[in-house]
Amino acid sequence: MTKKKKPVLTTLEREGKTLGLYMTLPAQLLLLFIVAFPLCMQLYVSLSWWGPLDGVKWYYAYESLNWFGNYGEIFSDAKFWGSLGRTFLIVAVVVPVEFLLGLGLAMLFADKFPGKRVFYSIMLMPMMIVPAVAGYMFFMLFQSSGPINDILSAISGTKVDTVWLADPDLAMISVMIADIWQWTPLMFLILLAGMVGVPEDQIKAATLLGANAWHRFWRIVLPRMKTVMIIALVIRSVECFKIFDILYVMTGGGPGVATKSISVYILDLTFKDLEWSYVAAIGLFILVALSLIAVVGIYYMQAAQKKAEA
Amino acid sequence: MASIELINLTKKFGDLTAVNDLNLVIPDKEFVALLGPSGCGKTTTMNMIAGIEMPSEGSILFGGEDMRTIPANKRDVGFVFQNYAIFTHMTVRKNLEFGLKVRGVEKSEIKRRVQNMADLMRLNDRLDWRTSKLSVNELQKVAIGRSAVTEPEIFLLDEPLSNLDAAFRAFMRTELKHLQHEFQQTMVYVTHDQIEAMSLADRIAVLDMGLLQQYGTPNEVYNKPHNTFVANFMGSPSMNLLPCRLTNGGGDHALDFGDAGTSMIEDGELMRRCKLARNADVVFGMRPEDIDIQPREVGRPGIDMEVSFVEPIGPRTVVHLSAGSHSIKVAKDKQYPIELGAKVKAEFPKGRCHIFDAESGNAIGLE
Amino acid sequence: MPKPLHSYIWRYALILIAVGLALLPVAWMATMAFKPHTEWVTSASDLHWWPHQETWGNFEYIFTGQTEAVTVSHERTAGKPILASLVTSLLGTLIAVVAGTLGAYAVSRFKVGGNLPLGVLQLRLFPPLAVMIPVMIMWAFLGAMDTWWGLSLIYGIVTLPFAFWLMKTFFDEVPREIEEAALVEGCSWFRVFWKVTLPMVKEALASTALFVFILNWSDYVIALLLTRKEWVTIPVYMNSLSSAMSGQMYGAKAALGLIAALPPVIFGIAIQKYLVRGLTFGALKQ
Repeated sequence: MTKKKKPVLTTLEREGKTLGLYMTLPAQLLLLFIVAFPLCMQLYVSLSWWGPLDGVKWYYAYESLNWFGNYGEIFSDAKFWGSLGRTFLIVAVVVPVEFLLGLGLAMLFADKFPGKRVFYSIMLMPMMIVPAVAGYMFFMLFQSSGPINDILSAISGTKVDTVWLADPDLAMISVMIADIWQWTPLMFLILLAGMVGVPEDQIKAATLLGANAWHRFWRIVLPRMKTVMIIALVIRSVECFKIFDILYVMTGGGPGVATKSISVYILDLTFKDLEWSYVAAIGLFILVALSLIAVVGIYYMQAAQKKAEA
Repeated sequence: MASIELINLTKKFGDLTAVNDLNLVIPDKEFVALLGPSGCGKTTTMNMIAGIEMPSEGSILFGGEDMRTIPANKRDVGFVFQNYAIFTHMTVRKNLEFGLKVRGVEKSEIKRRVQNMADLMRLNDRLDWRTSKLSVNELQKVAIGRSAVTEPEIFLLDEPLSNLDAAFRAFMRTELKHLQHEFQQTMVYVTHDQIEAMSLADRIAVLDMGLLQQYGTPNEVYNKPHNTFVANFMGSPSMNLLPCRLTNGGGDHALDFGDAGTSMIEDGELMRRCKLARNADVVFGMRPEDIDIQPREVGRPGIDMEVSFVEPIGPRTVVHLSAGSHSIKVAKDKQYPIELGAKVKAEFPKGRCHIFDAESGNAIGLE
Repeated sequence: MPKPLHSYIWRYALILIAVGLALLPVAWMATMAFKPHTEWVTSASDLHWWPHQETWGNFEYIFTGQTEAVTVSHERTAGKPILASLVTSLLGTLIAVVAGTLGAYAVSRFKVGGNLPLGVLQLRLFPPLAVMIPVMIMWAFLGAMDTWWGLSLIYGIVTLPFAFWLMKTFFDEVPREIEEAALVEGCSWFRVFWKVTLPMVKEALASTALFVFILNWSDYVIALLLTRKEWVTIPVYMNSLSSAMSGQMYGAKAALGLIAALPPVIFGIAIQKYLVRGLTFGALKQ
């Protein structure tokens, strides 16, 4: 084995590196400011019973030190697991539906047709709406004397006056519909970008080899979109796991706990129960869990990539 | 039977007429080249035959059957794209299998035919490679093999050799000829390279500005060009075209080249054709390899010229001659002994001259 | 490729349905914003989309705190929250874009910065609520709670990943030859960045800024946690806009919602061609 030689840098390259370090400084400082110190603080506070109403500053949290008491509590906290389960349920329903709808829409928009630009812009609009405002729109729509019931009445011919947001199951469905409305356009946008990225010549070649529309989609377009699909699914899943704005404005997590997602649960703990040390523990727990998922995911993706290249 | 008939075929893109009233019959099992400069409508014609584009007017018949309502994926034509359009997300084998799979051919049969094709195209050791690792030459072979494996009766090739290096191009030319013998398809071959067209095709259709200029065997197109465009396009170096006047001095016909002098016409055939000329202004054409260079003392018809440039290009020497405002190229053997500035006579042998109408560019009196 | 007519009919039918569904909630809010108080809540029997009597009263109400038909007056008008949203979104955008652009150039050109690219990306992975306790403590300690600069600072940080990754992809696309030519002329690296590269990505920089602005403007949860009264933003203010006496202030909220919805929709359409790139952190290009 020969020792790997350090590359010799020219003066210009060295100047560049020095300037580069200065240029990254603001971003690095911001990152340090929001990650390093808060993370230590969160860990420290999470090891105590400290709360904002204790009358002592947070750095005196050691006075109520309880080591891993908060973490132990997580495992027996039915409300926590309940809201985590609901969050996963939302992700599990909403993301695939958004994906399929987005894919269908992308197929409709794949070719050129008159009016495409206008329709395309309109289709993107939902995801530009401020989520809290979108939540409020759907809050209005789902009122018992609101337009949704009105439309349903018109279609079914009988008077529908469902109280959507007061029924546990229907409230959950309403929230899901709102999220689907807002974020299907994102799937559509990403998937369409992937779809038009498929070289037209290959589609033509497939056609001339005898492939019908189904073959072309299944054998040429879809396989070429694999990466794009994974990116779309990952981004949406991560974002959907954080679901808060739309849901909180529509139902506040209710009725009861019917739509309480993990974010709403944490908010309640923070402002209603003021159990900040416990919130810190939950936060760290989620952080570690998500990081593990991310690391495993990246590992598998790199492995798959290597396999594909071999 | 897979003859191709194009009847009054026209394609318009907005104001642009890409193909204008094209009539062409491509007999079964023949190799026809569509030849022309870029933008002449040859690729559009090909796309219409394949069904990728619909004609604005006119019709296309395969073996006498109208193709108007048959979509591209049902026409059963092989098509090789200029950039190959290889499915880059598949292996070579998957590429070759594609056409058979979508036709629902039985698995064992697919395997057999793909194997045969791989043998034929010498792609055996590449079958399970990803296409991203292949060289351009190999991609070309995959593209041809992928289309040929379904054994279409009609095979369309869009400038398939233009991206290859010179040596492989020559090799692929023989390979293609070979393939056509093997499978007995009707082949339509789009190219802008006249040498490729001459060497491969049974017939050549020369197109320009969407119009058919001439359709005939390579021999006909080369030796009896119907107009100045074809004359100029075929051959390298291309035909010398000299504008001149037909004069009628003392019963004898002569060509007046203005400041380059005049030349009597002795050639009977040329004489006959000159008599048909409506117009005194004509274009005189002569292939570079047909012109003789003689000392001036020899008293045969021709014009006195001076050697202005000598271009040794490997197998041949191209001698540039000029007189007055005219200049011509003459192709001679390699190491042709001639000096710059030599005063010579360019002689035009009998039976090799071409004469075109100056206005329309059409050949005069060609039967 | 030629297609039969009926496939067009199907396509347009489906697209019109999709477009209709995308527009429906927005349309309801938009018309609600112009409905007078008496039409806010209706029995299902006389539900109507278009206001019988169009009015600007709702806008009047949110800006002045009162309008004729509404008896309950509101002492806090929408002026300050709109100002708060504008100021904090703009400053947050400024912080994110400046830090992101500088960092992205350094990483793209000089391969420095180590873990910075992944570091900023992980800011996007975690639910903000899971990590807000220490931030709230810090903000209280710094006196940043419920201030314009405190909110701007956190906005700048949470949208930094978008600014960084977007700008990085744009810098990656700038041909090196142009910069090298300038270097050969004797320019320093910083001059090259400032005078050559940055002007070349002007349009991209503007799009990035708009994109980041949309994200900041859309925030709800952070403002909910870090503001109390003085600097609440539009979404937080909007949710507080109902009172025990008047019940849901449908029309007023719809009017405010319309105001809040407009800038992102307009900007979003303006930067359409970079949306995919922005939303996927540069992983995909349109």
